[in-house]
Amino acid sequence: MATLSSNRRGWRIAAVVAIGALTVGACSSSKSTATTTTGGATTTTGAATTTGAPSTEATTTLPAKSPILLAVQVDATGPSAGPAKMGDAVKAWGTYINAKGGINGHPVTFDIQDSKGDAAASQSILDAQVAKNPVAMVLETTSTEATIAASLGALKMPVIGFGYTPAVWGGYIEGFKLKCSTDPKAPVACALPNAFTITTTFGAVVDEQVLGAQAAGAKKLATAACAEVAACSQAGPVFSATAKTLGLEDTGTIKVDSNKGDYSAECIQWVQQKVDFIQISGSGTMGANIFKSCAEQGYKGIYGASAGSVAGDLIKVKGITLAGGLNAFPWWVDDPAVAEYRDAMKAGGLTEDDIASSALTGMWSSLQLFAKANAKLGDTPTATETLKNMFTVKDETLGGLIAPVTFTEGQLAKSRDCFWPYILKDGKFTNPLGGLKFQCYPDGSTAGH
Amino acid sequence: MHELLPFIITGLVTGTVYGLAGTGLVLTFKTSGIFNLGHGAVLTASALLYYWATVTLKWDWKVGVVVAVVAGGPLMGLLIEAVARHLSRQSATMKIVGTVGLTVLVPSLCLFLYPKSNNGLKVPRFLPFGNRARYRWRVLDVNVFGDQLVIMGVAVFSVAALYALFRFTRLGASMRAAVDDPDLLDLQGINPVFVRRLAWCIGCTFAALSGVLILPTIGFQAFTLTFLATYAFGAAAIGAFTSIPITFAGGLVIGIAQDISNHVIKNNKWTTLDGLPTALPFVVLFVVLLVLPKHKLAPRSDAEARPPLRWQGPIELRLGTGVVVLGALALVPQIVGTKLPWFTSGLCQAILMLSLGLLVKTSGQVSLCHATFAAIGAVAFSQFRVGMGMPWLVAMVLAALVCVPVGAIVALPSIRLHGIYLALATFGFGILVQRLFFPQTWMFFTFAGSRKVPAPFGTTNKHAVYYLVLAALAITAIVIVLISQSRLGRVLRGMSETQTAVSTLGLSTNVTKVIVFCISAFIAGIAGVMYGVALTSVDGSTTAFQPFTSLVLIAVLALAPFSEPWYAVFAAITAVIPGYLTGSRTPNVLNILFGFFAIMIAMRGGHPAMSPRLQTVFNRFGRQRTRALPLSDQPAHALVASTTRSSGEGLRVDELNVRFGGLVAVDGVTLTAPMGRITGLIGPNGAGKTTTFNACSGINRNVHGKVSLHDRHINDRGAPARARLGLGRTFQRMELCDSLTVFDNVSLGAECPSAGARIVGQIVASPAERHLILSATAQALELCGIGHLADQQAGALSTGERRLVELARCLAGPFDVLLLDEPSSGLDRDETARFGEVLERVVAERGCGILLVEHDMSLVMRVCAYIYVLDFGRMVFHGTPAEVASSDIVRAAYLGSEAEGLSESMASIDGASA
Repeated sequence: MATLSSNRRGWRIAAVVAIGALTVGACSSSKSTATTTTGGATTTTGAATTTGAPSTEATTTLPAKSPILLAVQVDATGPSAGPAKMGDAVKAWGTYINAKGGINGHPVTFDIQDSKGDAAASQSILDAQVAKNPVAMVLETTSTEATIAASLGALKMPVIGFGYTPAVWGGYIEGFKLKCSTDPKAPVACALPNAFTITTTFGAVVDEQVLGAQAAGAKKLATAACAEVAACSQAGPVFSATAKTLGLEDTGTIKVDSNKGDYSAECIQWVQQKVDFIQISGSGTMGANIFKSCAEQGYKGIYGASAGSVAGDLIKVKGITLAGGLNAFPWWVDDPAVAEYRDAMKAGGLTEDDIASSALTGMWSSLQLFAKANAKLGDTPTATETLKNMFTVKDETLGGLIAPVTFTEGQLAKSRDCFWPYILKDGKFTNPLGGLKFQCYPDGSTAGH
Repeated sequence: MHELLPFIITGLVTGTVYGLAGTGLVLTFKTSGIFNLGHGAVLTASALLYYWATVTLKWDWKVGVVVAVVAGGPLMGLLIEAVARHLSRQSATMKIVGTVGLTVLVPSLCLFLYPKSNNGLKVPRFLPFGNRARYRWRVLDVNVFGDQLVIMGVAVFSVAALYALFRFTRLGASMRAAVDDPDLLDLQGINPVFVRRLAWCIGCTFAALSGVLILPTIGFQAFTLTFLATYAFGAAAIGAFTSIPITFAGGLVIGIAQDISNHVIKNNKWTTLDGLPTALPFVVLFVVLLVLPKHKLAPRSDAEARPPLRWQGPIELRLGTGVVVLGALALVPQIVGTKLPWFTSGLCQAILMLSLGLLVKTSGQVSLCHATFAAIGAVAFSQFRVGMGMPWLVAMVLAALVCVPVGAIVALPSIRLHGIYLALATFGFGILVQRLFFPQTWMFFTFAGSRKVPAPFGTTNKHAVYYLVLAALAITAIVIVLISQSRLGRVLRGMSETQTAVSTLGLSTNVTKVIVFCISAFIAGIAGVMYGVALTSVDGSTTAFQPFTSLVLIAVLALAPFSEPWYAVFAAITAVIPGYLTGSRTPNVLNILFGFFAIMIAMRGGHPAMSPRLQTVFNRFGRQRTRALPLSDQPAHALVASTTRSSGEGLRVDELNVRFGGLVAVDGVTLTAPMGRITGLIGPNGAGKTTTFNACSGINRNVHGKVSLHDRHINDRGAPARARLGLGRTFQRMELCDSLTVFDNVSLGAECPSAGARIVGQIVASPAERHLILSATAQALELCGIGHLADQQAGALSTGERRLVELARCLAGPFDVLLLDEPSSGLDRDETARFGEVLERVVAERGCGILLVEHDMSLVMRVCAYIYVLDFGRMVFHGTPAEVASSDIVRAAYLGSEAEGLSESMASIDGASA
């Protein structure tokens, strides 16, 4: 009998532990994820949004018209989370735009949700957000966007932000002898009719890597791709083909365990092959560790990284020479439009390290374009209206922040084949083309200012 | 060759850590009998301690090492030893669940405490000679650094010291003995608990040391560190899970092979094998487990606690609950609004859980790769539906069928492996597929980045998709319940609790295992398709398909109360929770809970049986049914027609020799057990009687000599085949299915030989067979006088009653030569007398032959017509009871080993002969 009561007591304790732990989980939930922000006046349902709004925000006067809601879904946590503080950056933009009177007098509010890289969560979040009647869907969920593509396409509202899935954002798939189709059974779907793509799309994101290597003077290339995610090595054949076209030699892709830490064996192989450019296709942490190992094994060449990988640990590595392309405008350029970005981010509490991210500049560009397209937003804004307004965008460059873009109703978003080359050397970023100039592939033309 | 030399050097550095981690693993396995799948959790926990001490608290690295290794290692060892002590008494499945719980718990706890450890937290190099610019040497075109040499030195020294301790010290010998015979160790004045604790402390300290040494290289990454130890499983396999130095060497070999294979694959542009180097430890693990001689692996533990008793509510209650649950689930879309995708995913998980439950809960097998089956199902469906344009339903069925041969491949290890080895093989298979095949173009490596998995008619309506998955779940649940109530369900439950018994009753368990793995994989494939349909597209990083998910599934299954199909509902609920508790830490909190409770439940051997009070309450919801026993005049052995038996001479053994290593257990024994006679086989303890039985019945086939049944040489036949030829047996250590009723236990005696080795025969019984089985069961129950116990669970009976159940099971089958191993043990005087009458009646009515091992000499003398006497494995005498009773040789044999019981035994013999 004593044993029985002892057992029962044990289970009671266990039950209390369970309830307590779930409570902790529940508390943490409201702290970190579900955030509703009204531009300058943050109304966060939990206190621990990482950066929070600056103290001056409380005194900011809100625009007078009815607020508009932007539904934002980001990969903030989970296996595919990147280093970018996207949620904070979006809020910082909200503060900035509301300080300027909102979008045609409408204060901007956000419903920022973390997909955690989980497809079911992403879909559920999307449904919940749509029920709140936002005027646009803002995405940075590269790991789940393919899963929710069909639902997104059915929305009568603009889908902005950025990503890489051709079925959402479009891409230069013709270059791979493929054709997209709107047939739901087709293996390659076309871009969504309501997606407004402004960052570099699939196809060119690979080309920009090779062009970056060429611009940096590399002759013999290699790629280190993470073994865990198929997408890491996806670009391999395309990378090789482009390299051949440009007269460069590609030694191929090595799949590496992105958490291995020590990559001496791979580095020795590259040294043996006299490789002078190693493309990092994986996380910044993996790239930093590869640099460390290869430097210790005598590799003195250049490293390649593009788009969102150019951030976090990788660009903080001392002594690294990094080259490639960015999907959105370079953050370091001395230009009034770029300075506006930096100032707004700093005002939003982001650090210099946080700001150094083409993921954030891509998001900034997308939001700025949305604001500009809706500069004449009506007094009772709807998603249908903002969608219509997005199609009024013609040859827009946002003052040089993006390559010219035109959206036409009834036409799918075209592939965006332009990018901003960069070189990081001695801790300093430069654009070999200068300023905000960008390069486009396959014609190789350059433009911008 | 020269170009490969540098990779030997780099591989040595990596391999050192694998070897060190593997060594700790083998040490604890050797000394506790528990293979700690959670070894990586210990490694991670120590890394957490070190990180906390040196980075969070900014203490000196030496203090960090003391906290994490010197103190942390032994403390964790003590903690796990306490868990392992409870687990050691539980079934193999519970042992696995317990250690898997640890694997789920610890990394999730790390992520809860340090969320950024998901992407890695930097830890500065701390070892002496860590200045890589200064302490650097060029060896075979490789720069080797001081801290790497320190790591290798520490590892080699530690392993050498441990080997010396094991090999040359009394303490080492005690550690080895702690798992083999703790009681003997106790008699020697050495506390086995102390020895085991010490071994766990050392083993965990090795794990802690591995974790801290590797920390600066890979940073503090919870899951990486946890899975790093799984690389050591391959090393442990090379060391046959027993040899410390070979395990360490195995770690080095794997490290070197990884780097060399990487180089070779790259140089030859074998892109299909790109993933091989990272999958290599698991390839090694899987292959070694397939080819390692069975005797090299630790045998199945036979000292397991009885499983909790099963209670099944009345049919009305179950049907009513089913209708209510289904109704509630049907209303979900109308209630939950935007949370519906979570519920759809929950239903998918329920289907997957039913598939896993059939394998684990019903059949007692283990799979740590069920998420992989689901991934294969989803991809195959996408290929059939999207790639080839097949009709939706056809594509789904074909996709599930693709999983069937995969299930059969995974079942291969189950044929020769058991418990932890099977778990390791399936775990290795899951990671192997993820590393090697997920990135292939025909799997997840698509241009679009993911595989489309469309719903029927291309619908994207979430309500429609939900109802589709609900329908799939309902059908799966019905199928699982039908399987459970079918012949397959009965033999699976029998195999789950006593594989030895069902084998010797005629069931080819190899076939059964392949069948259940195939069915389970088929259903898991359906679950994968449903996951895909729910998500609309899937890729290699889909959470539901990750190897870690397979571990979480096992933990959740262990937590889930009730029998099929209700545990699936529990699984669905757990999948929905993150939809409502949307915090970034919710998955971690849930995994912490799953892990913690999985350990707790495993330590108790499963969920406790429902209290009698609750049973009474629930029983009110239905009509009590008593089993009607369909007595028949038809004899049980009519089930299997045989022309040889009736005219055969029964069992004959010629010059039987059985050795266990250097020990000769049976030496040149020759005997016969003819039809129509009870033959005795007596001898003191350790004389070789049960060993002879095991050789005759085919449990041990590694014997010399000739065993014949009805003039047919049967040495080359396995236990099930021998049983189907008419050889039945009971066991000294009873082999009953304790959670089944007496009726179900006894009916296995007829069911197993009828099921035999036929695939269809194992799945369903024809009405005629069913009738004969019921008839034979009733007859055997009546014959043994235990008809009144038919509806009681075997685990709740007294020893004497259990003996009678085992005898009845043997009598229910179509056996005409019975090997009865101490069948009257535990019976009182009256029961023994009645038992003797039963034997005589059986021989008289059925004309069968009985070989009786028995210590009750009065019974032997009364019922046996002829007696063989064994001593030290040799036949020392044989003759009639009177001749045996008067034999000085027999007296001497008993005098030599059982002086205490001599007078009583001889008095019995004398009395009987008088």
